[in-house]
This record gives sequence, structure tokens and C-alpha cells, in this order.
Amino acid sequence: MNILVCVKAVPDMESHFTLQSDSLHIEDSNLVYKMNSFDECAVEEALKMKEKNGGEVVIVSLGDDKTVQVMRKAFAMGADRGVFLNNASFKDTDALTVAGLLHKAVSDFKPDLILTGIQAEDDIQAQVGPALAELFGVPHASVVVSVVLSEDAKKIKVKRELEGGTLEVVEMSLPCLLTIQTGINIPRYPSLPGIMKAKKKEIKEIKLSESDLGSSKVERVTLLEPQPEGKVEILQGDAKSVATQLISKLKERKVFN
Amino acid sequence: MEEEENKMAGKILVLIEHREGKVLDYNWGNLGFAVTLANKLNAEVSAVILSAVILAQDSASLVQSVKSKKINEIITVHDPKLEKYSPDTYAYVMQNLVSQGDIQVVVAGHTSIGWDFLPKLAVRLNVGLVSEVNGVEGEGENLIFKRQVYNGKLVEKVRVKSKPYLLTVERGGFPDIEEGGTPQVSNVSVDLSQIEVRTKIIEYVKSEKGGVDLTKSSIIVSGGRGLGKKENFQIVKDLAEALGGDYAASRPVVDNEWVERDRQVGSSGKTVKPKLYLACGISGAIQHLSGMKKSDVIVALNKDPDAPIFGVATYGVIGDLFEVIPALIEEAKKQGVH
Ligand SMILES: Cc1cc2nc3c(=O)[nH]c(=O)nc-3n(C[C@H](O)[C@H](O)[C@H](O)COP(=O)(O)OP(=O)(O)OC[C@H]3O[C@@H](n4cnc5c(N)ncnc54)[C@H](O)[C@@H]3O)c2cc1C
Repeated sequence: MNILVCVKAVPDMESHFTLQSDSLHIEDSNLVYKMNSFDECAVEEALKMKEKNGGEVVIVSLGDDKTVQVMRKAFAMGADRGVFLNNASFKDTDALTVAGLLHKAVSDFKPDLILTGIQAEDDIQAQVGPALAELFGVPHASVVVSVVLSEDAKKIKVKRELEGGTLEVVEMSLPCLLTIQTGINIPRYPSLPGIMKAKKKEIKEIKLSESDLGSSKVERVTLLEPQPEGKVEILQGDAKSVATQLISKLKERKVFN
Repeated sequence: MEEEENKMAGKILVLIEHREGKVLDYNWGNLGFAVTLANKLNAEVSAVILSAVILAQDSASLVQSVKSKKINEIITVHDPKLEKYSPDTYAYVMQNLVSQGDIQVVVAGHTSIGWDFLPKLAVRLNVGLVSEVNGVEGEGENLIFKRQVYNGKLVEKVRVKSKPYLLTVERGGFPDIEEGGTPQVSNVSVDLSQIEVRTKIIEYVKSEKGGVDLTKSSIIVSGGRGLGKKENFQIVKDLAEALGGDYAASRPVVDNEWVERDRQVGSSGKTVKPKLYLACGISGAIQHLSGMKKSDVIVALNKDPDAPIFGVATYGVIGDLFEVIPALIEEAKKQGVH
């Protein structure tokens, strides 16, 4: 069973984001990047299947230099090798272009299963997975929270999450693509031997030129800070003083009655 | 459809998402959004209902619930293969409808249906798709769409350089469509005989009843990933008890099995509207906000002043929850709240 997992390096969302002067990009020289949390669950799910059914887990990622450490993390968890599409302006490409580039880069590999996270924490689009399924010509299911492979490894039964907590049980034949939701598993920490081995695993780097990126159909015109919906009253002081103020205010508002 | 010549510049197709015979409630906001957009584009709004059976004008409840809305048209397509949702059939039917008329925009919710099939349609039509739109500016050819990025900490505005525009709409992002319309219902036939439905829905599993019913709680203290680990979650429970309320959690807390799944608030959990919602160590991702932002009083406790949760809060405390929560428990006991 050969599995392709798409991963993305994203900044830690607890960072303070500042805008570059072009108002199109964030200042990212001092940000800490990590693996998109949905992708981490996708890697874990792939490794669990590999442990059961054998085969190879291949990581593919489009990004800049920050991507390499994220791919190495997937290796340290247990993935076998990677394909790295390197271009520093990848952030300006729309999701469908990204799906096209990923597809082209791995079109010689015939995976039985393709996994992506539902969405990236930074762009929050949830497009690449289903678009990639269309390009590969395989069926897909999104927001997957459980996966069961049939005995003969030809079919897969998944639960996908609908709004409000209802689950949809869906069956399809392999090869197929799943977009993974958090909660499907608790991703493992890389082991020390895993980290040692990761250094030797192969990353095939493909340097993309600007023309490879082509022209995107969705184009950012500006990036800005959100305007808060209401007016929040920030309570000032140390913990004790803040607590006294807050409880008094809540009592005044009669929330406890 | 093509013979319907009028002064309007094309149509906006809005997919009506339904399940087990019921129109899902977020569709009304999607239609509300489509009307705003229609005014900007001078276009008509057509609601599209896909179903297995012929939706006779007066009997079928699916059509019935849409028929009173202020839109121009309802398009129904029926085929046994449309009994349940599948990306294969939905993408094919919408592609077919796009090819039949002057379609300016295709709209669906940013939901397990909308985000599931629209990327497929976008690839087929070779056009751009904008996800989770929560605002639109400009007129005519110069439309700009607004959406959240970076977990809600920033907003981006985008332009689309292809037509038709494909859009998924943020749930709860727009006011519901107005009542009082008399849309005409037209049945369009689409030949699905060549289409194989590759994903088969076997059943729906409803979330288990039982445990606490957070939708009835008047005070909720909710904890997020900021708690750090399972043992630490106890202070959230303690604060809930001190305030006479129930405890709840964001999704990562549930995913990591720190608390039970029936405590999850948000788009894939419970939607709550208590008198007090106190969010501790929760960043305020859009999927969390959609489950609690209608609460009467919202208190946000977070060490990150940029956390989007402050955007919906009544009171904010910027600080370390491990200091503030114990102080709150003590103060609640001292002032006697219940
Ligand atoms: C399809 C889909 C459905 C989803 N459904 C839901 C849902 O129903 N409910 C839901 O909650 N999420 C849902 N999510 C996930 C959502 O996108 C977020 O990932 C999630 O809400 C984040 O949870 P959090 O705020 O606890 O964690 P984080 O975003 O990691 O935030 C943790 C916060 O804690 C703060 N913090 C850390 N330490 C401290 C400290 N010592 N003191 C004070 N503050 C501290 C940080 O500043 C940060 O803001 C869904 C996602 C998808 C894609």
C-alpha cells in the first residue's frame, strides 16, 4: 500500500503577525514554522496504515526553505521519502495552481491512497485535497475522522464529519483521496532513532521557476487586521484585581441570577 | 433557460444543501449573500435543489421551504443518483447547469458539501474558487471578496480573474434571506446515465444523546489548547463549579481526549447561547466562534492580545490563565455568586 501525504509548513498561529509594507504578505523572517496540524494527523494515519499493510509513505510539499524541516519531521515520525517543490513565492499561488503543481510533481508515482489535511491553518481554504482528487481522477472524501480498510485492501470505509457533529459513513474503492480532520488520531512524537534516520532519507528537490507557478486566478489584493465586531472592554490590573472587577461586573449584569 | 431573455446580466446559482429531507439552516445566509451579490452584478438569484424525486411545485417540502424566499427562481434537477450527496454527481450537475446558461456565480456553503465538491468543479471549469467568503465589496467587474486567514488573525481581500466565480460562504457570515418572494420553479433535466457515483453513503451516525446538554446551560466555562495538558483542565472544571455553570471545550481539547466529545462547542460540536460564556485559552477560530458568539456575555481570557476571541468578547482579560483562573475561583467564593 503506497501512500502519498501532502504537507505544508505553516507559522505557529500564536505568533504576532505583522504586515510587510506591500500589505500583501506577513513579515515571516522571525516566525517559527511547523507542520500544519491537520497534515500531522494525515502523516500519522498514513504511518498506521503502513505499519499494518506495508508499502511506502511519500511526503510531498510545496514551499520555501522552511519546508525542509517539516518534511524531516514527517520522516522522523516514519515516512520514507519526500518530494519538495521549492519556490519562495509559492504563497502567491492560488489553491488550484498548488494542486496542479503537486499533481505534476508526483504523477509518476501511483499511490493507492492520497492523504491531505482538510485545510492549512494559514490560508484556511480546504481546496487542495478535493482538487487534487479530481486531477488524479480518483474519488475522495473530506473531513475524515476514521478509516477502515477492507480485508483485501481494495475498499475503504471512512467516517466523515458533517456540521453539528453528525458523521457520514462513506465507502469507496482505492485508489482514493482523503482529507483528514484532527481527532482521527493523536500524532506520535518522533523517536530519537527516528530523528537520526530522518537525516538520511531522500528529499527530491524540484526548483520551480516563476513561469512554473503560472498565473493564479484568485489574487490577493490586500491583507489587513480584522475590525472587531463589538467593543471589548479589556480589564486592567493583576490577576486578583482583574478577578474582583470581572466578578463584580458579571454580578451587575445579573448573569448569575 | 437560454430563451429567458431579460435585462438581467445572468444568474447566480446557489446550491441548496439538504439532508434527509431537510434544508440545512445555513442555506438562508447563503441566499442572503447571493442577493447582496446579485444587486452588485445586476443578476438574478436561482436556488438549485438536487433530489432523487420530482419535486412537484406544491407538495415537496424541500421546494416548499425555499418558495417563500425573495429570490428569482428555483431550479430543480432530479435523478435517482441524486438521492444522497456525492461529489461526482453534484460537480457534474452544476457543471452542466453552468454550461446551459449565462451563469455569473456559483455559491455553496463553506460546509462538508460546499468545500467538498466546488474544488472539483473549479478544476473542471478551470476557474478560481474563493473559500469561506464573509464580505464583498465593489460593483460589476470589480468585485473584491473578503475572508479570514491566519486562523482569523488577519483578513485578506481577493480578486478573481476568471468567470463564473465559484464561492463558498462563511456559515453565519450573512443575514438570512428575506421572506416574501414568489420564485418560479423550473425543472431542468440533466442526463446522469454516464456518471458513476464512486462514493457510497452507507449511513449517518448522529452524535450520541445523553451526558450534559450544553445548549440549556446558562453559564459555560470553556477551556482550550492553552490549558496545555489534560491534568490542567481541572481548573476549568473548578471555575465552572465555582460559578455554578457547566464546563465545555474547544476541539483540540476533545481531540486530545482531555474531556468528553459532548462538551465540544463549535461548528462540529454544540451551538450554545448561555448568559455567560467564559473562554479560557481559546484562540477564537471561526469554527469555535460559530458555536458561541451569540452568547449574552462573553469573557475572553488569553495571553495573546491578538487572539480573535477578543473580537467577539464583552470583557477581555489579557493574561496567564493559570494565574487568573485561581483568582476568579477565589473571588467567586468571596463575593458569593450563587
Ligand atoms: C471542519 C472543521 C471543524 C471544526 N470544528 C470545531 C469546533 O466545533 N470547535 C472548535 O473549537 N474548533 C473546531 N475546529 C478547529 C478550529 O479551527 C481551531 O483549530 C480550534 O478551535 C482551536 O482551538 P483552541 O482555541 O483551543 O486552540 P489554539 O488555537 O491553539 O489556541 C490556544 C490559545 O490559548 C492561548 N494560551 C496559551 N497558553 C495560555 C495561557 N497560559 N494563558 C492564557 N492563554 C493561553 C493562546 O494564546 C491561544 O490563543 C474545526 C476545524 C475544522 C477544519
